[in-house]
Amino acid sequence: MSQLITLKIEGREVTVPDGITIIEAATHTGIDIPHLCYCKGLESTGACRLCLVELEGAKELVVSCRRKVKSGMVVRTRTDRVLEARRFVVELILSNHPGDCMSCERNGTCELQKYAYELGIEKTRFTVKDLGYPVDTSNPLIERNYNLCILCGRCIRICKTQGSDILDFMQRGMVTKVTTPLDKPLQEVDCDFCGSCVAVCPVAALLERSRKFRGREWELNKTKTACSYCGCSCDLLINTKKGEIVKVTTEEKTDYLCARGRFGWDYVQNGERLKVPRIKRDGKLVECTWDEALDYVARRLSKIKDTHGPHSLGGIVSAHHTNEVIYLFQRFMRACLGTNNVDSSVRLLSYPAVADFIEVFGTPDVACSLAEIEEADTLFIVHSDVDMSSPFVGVEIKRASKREAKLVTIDPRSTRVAEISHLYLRLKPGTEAILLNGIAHCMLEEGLYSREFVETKCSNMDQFKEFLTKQARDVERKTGVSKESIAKAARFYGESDKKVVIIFSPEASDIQSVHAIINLLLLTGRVKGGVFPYMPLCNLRGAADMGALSEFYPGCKVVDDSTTRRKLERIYGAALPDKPGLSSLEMIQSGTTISGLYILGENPVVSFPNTTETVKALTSLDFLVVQDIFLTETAKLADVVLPGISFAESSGTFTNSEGKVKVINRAIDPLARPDWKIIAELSSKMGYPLDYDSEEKIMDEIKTLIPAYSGGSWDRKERYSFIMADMGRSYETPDSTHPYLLMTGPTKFDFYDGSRTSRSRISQLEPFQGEYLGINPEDAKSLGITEGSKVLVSSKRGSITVAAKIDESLPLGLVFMPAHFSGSNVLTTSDIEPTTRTRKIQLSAVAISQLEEVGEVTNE
Amino acid sequence: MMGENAAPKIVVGLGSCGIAAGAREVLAAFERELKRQGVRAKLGRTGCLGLCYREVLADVITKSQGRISYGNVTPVMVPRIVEQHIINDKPVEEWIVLGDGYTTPDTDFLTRQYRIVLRNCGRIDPEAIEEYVARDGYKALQKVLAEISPEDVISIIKESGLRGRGGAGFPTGLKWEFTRKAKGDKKYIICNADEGDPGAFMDRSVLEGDPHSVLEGVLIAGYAVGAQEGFIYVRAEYPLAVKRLKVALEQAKSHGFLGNNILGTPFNFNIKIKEGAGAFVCGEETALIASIEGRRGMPRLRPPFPATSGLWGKPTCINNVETFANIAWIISNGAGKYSAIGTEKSKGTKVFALTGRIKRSGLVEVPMGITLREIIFDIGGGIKDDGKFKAVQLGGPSGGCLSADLLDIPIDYETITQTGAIMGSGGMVVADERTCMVDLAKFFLSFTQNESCGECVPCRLGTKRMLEILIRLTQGKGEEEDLYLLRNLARDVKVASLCGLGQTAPNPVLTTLEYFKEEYEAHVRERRCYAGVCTDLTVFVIKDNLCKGCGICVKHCPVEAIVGKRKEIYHIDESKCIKCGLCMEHCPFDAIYRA
Repeated sequence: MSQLITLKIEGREVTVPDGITIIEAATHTGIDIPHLCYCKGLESTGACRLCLVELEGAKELVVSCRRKVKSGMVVRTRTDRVLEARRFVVELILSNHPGDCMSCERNGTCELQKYAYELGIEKTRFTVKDLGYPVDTSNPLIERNYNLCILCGRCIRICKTQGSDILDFMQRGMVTKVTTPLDKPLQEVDCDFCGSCVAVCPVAALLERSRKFRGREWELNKTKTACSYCGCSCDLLINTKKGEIVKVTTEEKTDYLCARGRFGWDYVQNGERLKVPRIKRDGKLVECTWDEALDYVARRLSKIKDTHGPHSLGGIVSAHHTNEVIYLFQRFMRACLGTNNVDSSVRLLSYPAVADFIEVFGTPDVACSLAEIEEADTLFIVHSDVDMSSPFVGVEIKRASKREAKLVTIDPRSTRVAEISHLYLRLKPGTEAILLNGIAHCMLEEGLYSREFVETKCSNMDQFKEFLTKQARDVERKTGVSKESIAKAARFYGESDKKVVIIFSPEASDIQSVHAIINLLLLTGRVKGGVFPYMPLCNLRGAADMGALSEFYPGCKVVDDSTTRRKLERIYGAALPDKPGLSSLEMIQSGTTISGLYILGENPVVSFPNTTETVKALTSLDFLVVQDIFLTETAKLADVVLPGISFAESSGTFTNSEGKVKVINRAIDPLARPDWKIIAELSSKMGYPLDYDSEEKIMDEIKTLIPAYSGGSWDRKERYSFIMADMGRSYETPDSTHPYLLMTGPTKFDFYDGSRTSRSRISQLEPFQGEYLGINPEDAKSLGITEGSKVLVSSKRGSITVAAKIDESLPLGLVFMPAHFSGSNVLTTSDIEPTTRTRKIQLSAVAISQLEEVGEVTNE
Repeated sequence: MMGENAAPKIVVGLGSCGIAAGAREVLAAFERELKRQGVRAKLGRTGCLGLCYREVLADVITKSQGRISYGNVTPVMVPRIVEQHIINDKPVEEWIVLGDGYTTPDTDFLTRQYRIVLRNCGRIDPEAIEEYVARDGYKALQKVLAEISPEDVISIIKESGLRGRGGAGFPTGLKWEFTRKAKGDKKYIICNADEGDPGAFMDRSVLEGDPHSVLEGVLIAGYAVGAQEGFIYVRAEYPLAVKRLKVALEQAKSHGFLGNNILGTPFNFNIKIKEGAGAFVCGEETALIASIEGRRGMPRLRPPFPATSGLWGKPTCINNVETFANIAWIISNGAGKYSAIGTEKSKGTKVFALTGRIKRSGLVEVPMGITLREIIFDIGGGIKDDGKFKAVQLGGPSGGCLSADLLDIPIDYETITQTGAIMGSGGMVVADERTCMVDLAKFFLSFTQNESCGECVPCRLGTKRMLEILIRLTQGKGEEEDLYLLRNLARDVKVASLCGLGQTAPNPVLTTLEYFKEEYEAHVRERRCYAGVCTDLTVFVIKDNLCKGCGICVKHCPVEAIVGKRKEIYHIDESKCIKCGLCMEHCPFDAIYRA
């Protein structure tokens, strides 16, 4: 491939890599060969016949999007014969395409229009037919108008490679049409709504509904920024007209965005956005001025500090904020308020992984890149809801599988990823650590590990062997996975010459399974690029790096490290506390020592376990200030609400799952006050001025503290230790009163605490408004439950009523509830695991009963 | 065929054609009659002999008379045949179409043929492997497995000069060699039996009449290219062919010609039947492969050719039924004997389905190099009702229409291609003066337009726009510039289409425009269809001087378009006339004519 060859295009000698097509070679040279079905990044079919060129020595015209270059080839792209063929093709297409360019959204960027113009076709000689297809506007995101479709097939091809593979042609000849299974609307055929089809459509057959009549292409401003949903934090372009977002696109047409990234931005312009601060007066939140609000907060916080000491104050920041905001927040908490009680979403979503990485490798920066997933030979996927949580990782897995990489999936649910796997280990819920240890044990027994690495780099192999031997007892019975399957998995993982990556969900992993994953890395020496924890929030990595954890300073330095503390004290000009503070979970629970709490962007009422306890703890605080863009369930409990801004209004950076620092650029003017300015002003009012001109200045300070953010690298350990702990079950044991295990997790469209997605059109795509209990068909049958039945779900913490959704991917005994649904955490337990100080229990025991139907239910 | 058993044997032609003509009833009548008259005779069946115009065919085989074929047999004729021929040993001479020592008008039909592919059709029971074996069936396979290396098999096929009979005429041996040399852990053989051309039935007749010859060809190909699995992709619209193939597969398996360790050698080969769902485009090899794989039957661009990347991406050799049916003969008789037949570049024989306005329609196998005139006039007996020859359509909807001045060209791939037609799979439709060439072009184009898969623009939209013009022309709404546009469109569709379907779809239009230009011009300039086919351009007129006022035409007119009184001269009201022509047909005085 890398060999260079020389050919002649349009009389010009060009040297290009061997193996590429003529059209690619032409593009290389700056020669544009017209094309409609060809699309860079997709397999070409040669169907539109527009890219025909003349090849010296060939009798017939050749299709340049398929024909590979050859040394000495002579290509002519604009001969009379070629132009005639092209005119003919475009004229034919125009004979079947309504010429409604006047008000067409694609006017100006329509590829058909472009070629009609370039080829000088003023009018087709044929009568233009009206195809009469109804325009599909039945879903909130994508408009499908097949009257405009030119059947290039790009949408079909991209849906295969990065969508849910639900498109194909139907019928033939003149009545050929792009369709879905049984020609049903997208929302009924498991469409991912990634919108990739919209992005590649050369005409206006597929459109973002949001953009209709809201701006011509040439009026749109494109701001490059990054997505603020999951940890992939994909690059995107926010298209605005006069300060309003019209749509979101990508640099290259085939760049992937998921439904949330492409369509989930509309919450930014939702009417419920907070623009003015509010103070609680007589039990009611009433609007006030910024000065009033900030003075009040400063006064109250100071008073609590003076009365109860700095450690009676706490702060929690959400990891969907920029590094700059998070960094400043922790500086405010530590230097101005004087407490290490500063924590973030990291605690509940990824703490065990972060802590383990720092402990074993000396750095949180262990993940491989997304591109490396695609290139891997074998992928081990622990928790396979990845295409819900981090859809782009799901796409990379699919691409790898297409390249014939081997997939091994470990999950009790038979998810989409599980279905395409070579080996699917359907284990009993909550037994991941046992299974992974079983695999490690098998590798030891079969000698499938890197002896050299272990002997030269690891210190405690003997101890580890002993641990595994003890752990390995009864693996088959405990996990429900056969010995043979475990051995197979061990052999897949143990293939030393293969690039193997373990992909896992830090959110769903307890500390023991993270230990087990790291031990596998050490056993095979895959300490670099061997693991990918997919972060459920865009800046979880950044939040940890910035020191938004009560035991870590910026740069992931432990707070009891006095060298770092002294350095920080110098820069901050304040004395810093030297003991780890409380974790977010510890701050919000009964008997907490916190009196005043500052919550930035988090919504614990929904996102923290045991809602009843959470609400009780929040309402019993002396003072609660919540900074957010909406009046969330948590903000409603606050004494003061400070309106911040969304990612579209922000500048700064995120650090994504890969550890890449993504630049966030402001696309629209802030609707309220930038969060970093609020913190800085508050700090000033409390006598600790934080003077920054801009976000860049904050980043400059970060760079001085964390070398990796200024082009340097993280300090890494060179010697490692296997990491062991036997802490028993991470799930509540089901019993006769609570016989089912409840798993909560991400869904396709909604997100995290739901505060943003519930105010976006994408949430309309969730079944039952995203509030349901997924249950295996047989469990449902034995309980007399059918799809949509109202059921009462209860645990020792509380109970809720919800619709049942039959879900074949769930095993018997395991039920599922979307994590963004505010009811799910009513059932969960907030028991704290003492070493990580995050939740101990991933799966809660619940009881389910069908509610008596009241009267006849009529179907309208 | 007589065997040691002296009992006479009656064999009825039970191909689809025979069955359609009533062969089952004839067979039943023989059974009844034999029982009634208490005659001991064996009843058997065979495939199609090719004399379509003589169906139902029934052969009587006796020791004294040999094999005698009766044509146009109906159940009514059966008692006499049984009594006279079988009981009294006196053949019913006036019904004989073929028989030793008898010269009939039908003799020419067979004597001018050279039957390699059709060697067993109409001669053996297609559902009895013993009869195939008795005529040296599977000998070639035995020979190949025992004595000839795969490379040498390929050399023999190359030497024979056999070219693909699916239409394009690619040298078969070369295709096998490419497949053999292609890298792949698995290789496949596909037999393309998706015969879809209207008017073509060569493959069906072979599958129905001699399925084992095809299987033997596939097996030898498999051995030669190094494949272990074969598919026969056959139209589901050929239920009898499918059934006989299934029977043949079972029999071949039980006789050790198919499966593992064939004939005790290490050669393993299995064949699966895949029924097509009726899309014409699936006759195109890449679309056919997609269809077998369970995908939508759409062609893809070549290269890569199936020989390097075919079924499931593996090297695949794909040939059609007729090609495979030649193989065993070539192996048994030698490449030299095969290549001695035909012209310099086109060797061997070709089977044609001769239909249309011809006296003796049917299936003929002729040596390459024979002229169209010989086929149509000598074998086919000339034009029906002694009409005048106008054109012959070669190669089905992808082929072209040739005029009388091309009747003496020799039939070989290159010459036919030069005329603008193609050899195609072998459809040969004869037209006389009563055929309108514009209408004929419209017929073929409406077929291809309807069968276009819709993938590439030129074929999907171009054929439709061409058809629209042809429809306008036949309606008398065509303009001078339509002819220009039609020709340009046709050329562009040919140049720019993705697969063979689109690249050849304009051929009927281009050739009729070339050879029958004046007919198009008459449709535009004079608004007339001389053949009287395009009803919009036809007027029925009653000649005043011939009309006797009998009123018979009035009775037959379905739309009361004829006005006037009895004993007076009638007139046709053009506004009501639907141009059915019933009046003209029934006028006893020939007073009505088409203008």
